[in-house]
Amino acid sequence: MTTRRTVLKGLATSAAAGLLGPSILTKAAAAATTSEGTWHITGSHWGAVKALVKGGKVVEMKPLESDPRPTDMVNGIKGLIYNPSRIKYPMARADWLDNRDKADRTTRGDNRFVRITWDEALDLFHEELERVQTTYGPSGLFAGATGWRQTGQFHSCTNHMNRAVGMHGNYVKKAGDYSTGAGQTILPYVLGSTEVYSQGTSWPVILDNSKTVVFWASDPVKNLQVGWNCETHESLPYFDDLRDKAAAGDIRVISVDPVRSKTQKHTGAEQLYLNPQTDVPFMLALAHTLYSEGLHDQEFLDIYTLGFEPFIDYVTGKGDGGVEKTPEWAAPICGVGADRIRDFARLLASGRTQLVFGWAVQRQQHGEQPYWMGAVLAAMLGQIGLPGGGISYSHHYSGVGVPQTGASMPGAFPLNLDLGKLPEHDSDDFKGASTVIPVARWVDMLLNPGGTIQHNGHDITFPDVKMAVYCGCNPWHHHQDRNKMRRAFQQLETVVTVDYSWNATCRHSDLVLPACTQFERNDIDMYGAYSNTGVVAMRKLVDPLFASKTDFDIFTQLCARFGRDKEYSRGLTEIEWVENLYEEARSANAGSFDMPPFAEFWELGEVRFGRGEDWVRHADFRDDPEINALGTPSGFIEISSRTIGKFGYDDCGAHPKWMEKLERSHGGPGSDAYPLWLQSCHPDQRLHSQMCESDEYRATYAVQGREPVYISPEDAAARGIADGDLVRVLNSRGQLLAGARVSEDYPPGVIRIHEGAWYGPEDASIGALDTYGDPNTLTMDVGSSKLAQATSANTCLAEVEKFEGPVPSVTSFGGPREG
Amino acid sequence: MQGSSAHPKAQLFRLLAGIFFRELTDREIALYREAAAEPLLAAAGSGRAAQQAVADFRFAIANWEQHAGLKRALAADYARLFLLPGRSAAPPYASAYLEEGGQLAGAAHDRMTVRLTGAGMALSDGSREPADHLSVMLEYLAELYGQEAPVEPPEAFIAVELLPWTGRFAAAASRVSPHDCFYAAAARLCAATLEGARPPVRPA
Repeated sequence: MTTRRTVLKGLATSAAAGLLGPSILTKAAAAATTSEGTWHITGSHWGAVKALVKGGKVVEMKPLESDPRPTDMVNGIKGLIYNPSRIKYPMARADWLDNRDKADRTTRGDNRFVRITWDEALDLFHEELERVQTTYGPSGLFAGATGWRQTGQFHSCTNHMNRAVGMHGNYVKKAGDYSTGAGQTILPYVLGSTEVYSQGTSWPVILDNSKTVVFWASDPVKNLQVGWNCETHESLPYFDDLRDKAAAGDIRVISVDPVRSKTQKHTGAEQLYLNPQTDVPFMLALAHTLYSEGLHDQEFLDIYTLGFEPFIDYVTGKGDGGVEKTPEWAAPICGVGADRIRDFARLLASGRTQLVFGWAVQRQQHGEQPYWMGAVLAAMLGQIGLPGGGISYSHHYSGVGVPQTGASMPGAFPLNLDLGKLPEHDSDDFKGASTVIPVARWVDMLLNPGGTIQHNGHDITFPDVKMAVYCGCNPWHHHQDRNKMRRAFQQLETVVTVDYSWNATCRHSDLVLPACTQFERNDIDMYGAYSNTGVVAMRKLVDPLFASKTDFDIFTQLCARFGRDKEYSRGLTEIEWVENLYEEARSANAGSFDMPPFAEFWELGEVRFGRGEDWVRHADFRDDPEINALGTPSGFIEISSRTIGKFGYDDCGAHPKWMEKLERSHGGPGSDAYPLWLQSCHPDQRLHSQMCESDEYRATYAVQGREPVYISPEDAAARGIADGDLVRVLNSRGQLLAGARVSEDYPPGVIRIHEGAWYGPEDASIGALDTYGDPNTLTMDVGSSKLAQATSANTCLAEVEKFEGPVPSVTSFGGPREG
Repeated sequence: MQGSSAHPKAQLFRLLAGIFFRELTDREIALYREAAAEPLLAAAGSGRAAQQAVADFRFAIANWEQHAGLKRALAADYARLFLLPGRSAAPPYASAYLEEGGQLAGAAHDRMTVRLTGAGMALSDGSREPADHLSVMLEYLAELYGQEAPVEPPEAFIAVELLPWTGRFAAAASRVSPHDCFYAAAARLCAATLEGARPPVRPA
């Protein structure tokens, strides 16, 4: 008879004991578990929140009571922390681990991974940096792509990656970004600054002075839910005021947009529909009306601008083959009747008019033109620099328009090397290639090493990149044309990604390092990116999950591989950095804004600086254009730019022009094959791709588990599609599955899929069906023009059909699969 | 932990806990090849399902190919099933099966945290795996079997905390076909052994 004792005795001497090993449980002090938990304040892109932490776990999250208009997205944050897609351990692609630069790259995105230790992972990271620097030099390494990161001034991952990788060696960097690439390039030539990231006229000033507010392809009520730093949402109540003033007839609010926007509906604004991508013909006709009817402000143009004459010659048909840009000329292109165009021009000139532009309109081919043309219209109206007049390119972003306090904000962890320090590999021999590329051209770079493009007055020669490093950045969300990307990624010998969730960038990587979320680390943040409303403490809520680490720890330990960790961290710990950043701000604010000592602040969770001062954009320039000259080459508003003209570009000339697009709906090129314009603007229920993986929250908007595609009743009916149907959206570049949302907000010929939907192809083949609904499966990867070389995501046509057949499961939120 | 070594079922659950907690070492692979696990498998039970699961487990080991890449292949299988998310995964967490959307650290995690804290237990080696990891729960179960007067009957713990999801876990592990079916067989062995330990239904 076998007894417990004989089994035990037998095991002790048998090989079986060798299989058991030590227990994974150990003795610890017994403790009571009856705590009610503790509430902590922390910050996020979605606003300041209070989190209840109990038993080492975040059990509840809610907006700070003082948030005037919290976003529903706060309900998705917990789903980020405890998401099943979290990267748990450092992982290496098995084939790459065995064969490194000789590994099979065709299986990227669909391959086997194995767990490795942190030491192994960081050794590999360092070895690859060494190999690439010594084999190819700095032109072999691309670490330029950056994204929206998580919030927190200290842990800003972009800074950590750039400082650490830069401490090891030089590398190829990027210029511009995906959000505003065309705008931030053209506007310095026109208005002297990027404008897109500038504080705008205060909302109280607009509300008190404007007679007409025009939201031009701008949807602030949607986009102001999120902010670059901890968002205050102070700007949103102003839209209630605007709604009330519109209802009372004090302000006329107009939304120029093919789609009925959230802002339009919230404020009760009138909609001025125009065909997609035809803003410029419409605007040229407005300029024609203003000029021909003598409604333009010639005195303003004479004093404050340069180059009106060549432009108006173009408008009146004295140039450009004699085509006069009359409302009758524009009407068939833009779909707005000639009389309506004239009426709108007269309205703009009838009183104080604030033009408010969004960003999506410049994310198209020739996206520089509508922005430039907007500035020209504002200049012709002569109200730039007046309260409630002029033009804004930023009021939908990060609380722009909330009066700024003037308080100093905490700085950040340094992005660059300390003064006088050089990288370990300080070669700057890029083998004749460019050291900086326009960010949206990195796929072209990988596919065409040695190739050249023109960019903003320079010739760019693409380097032969062999290794890419991404940190808190998901190019497999924000870049265009997934199938082109798949081919491009096969050119890379090594891809290292640091992130917290298995997104498509991780799946296409060789080495994946788990960062923790911002809720698992201590940090500090600005409360209000432009308003400087206060400072928020970001106390670590829970320990990093699994084996994840802070970006600071990851890159400090990477730098230790080449003996520069102390230099990297400056010998400070996480909390010492946070305290120092706070105390530096406190010192700068001494005598102006009271800030308690750090320990007190850390307990309070926030400090606020009161209401800021009202302000008018460009008022100083208007007051004295010589002393307060703009940053343009002439110091004036440049309606025509000699600088740009000298570049000689055929797709961005010396003044704004209408140029046909490669694809355009409503009778434009390509619309016979693919008649629907696909708009892929910023989502309403995510921050770009952040939070897409939050399952419970995604379920509140997904349709049959897929990203919604919004479609007009007419287009749906014509295709036999009902609300809630699963549909295939396709064009010559790709195909995706989405869930139909039939909505009166959309006109015929227009569909929308919000960008940021995670990519999940059915299999690894080029052209495979995307199973969730990433619009960049369909978008076109061409530069906006030779000037900006920015994304042209919104130049995209597609077709929709009801999906028939076996429905594939969604692969977007899983890890890599076996090839 | 000491008490868990005294009961045959405890040994088998500890063996399974190790399989699901970390990748196999060269030494462990060699021991499995040498049938070192045989003395423990008898504890799986005499039911048909348990016997089939034991046979599958033996077959999986016997089917291991003799090549230098076996350890790597098994590690990739392990990663695919237990470390990576997605449709090819069999996450070894109770919450993955019991929570909406498979969210981590759900109610099962909370209950296990209370149990471990109350019992003065913690994960060794600083692991930050959630408390509802199957290996943690199996180790805890082994402890219960090893105690003269357990804080709760092991069969009750199995019924309340493990049986509601371990069948689905085993099904998930078996749904896909990894390079080698060792982990799928281990998952089925685990589920069948737990099922065999289900408390008897008392007549009304």
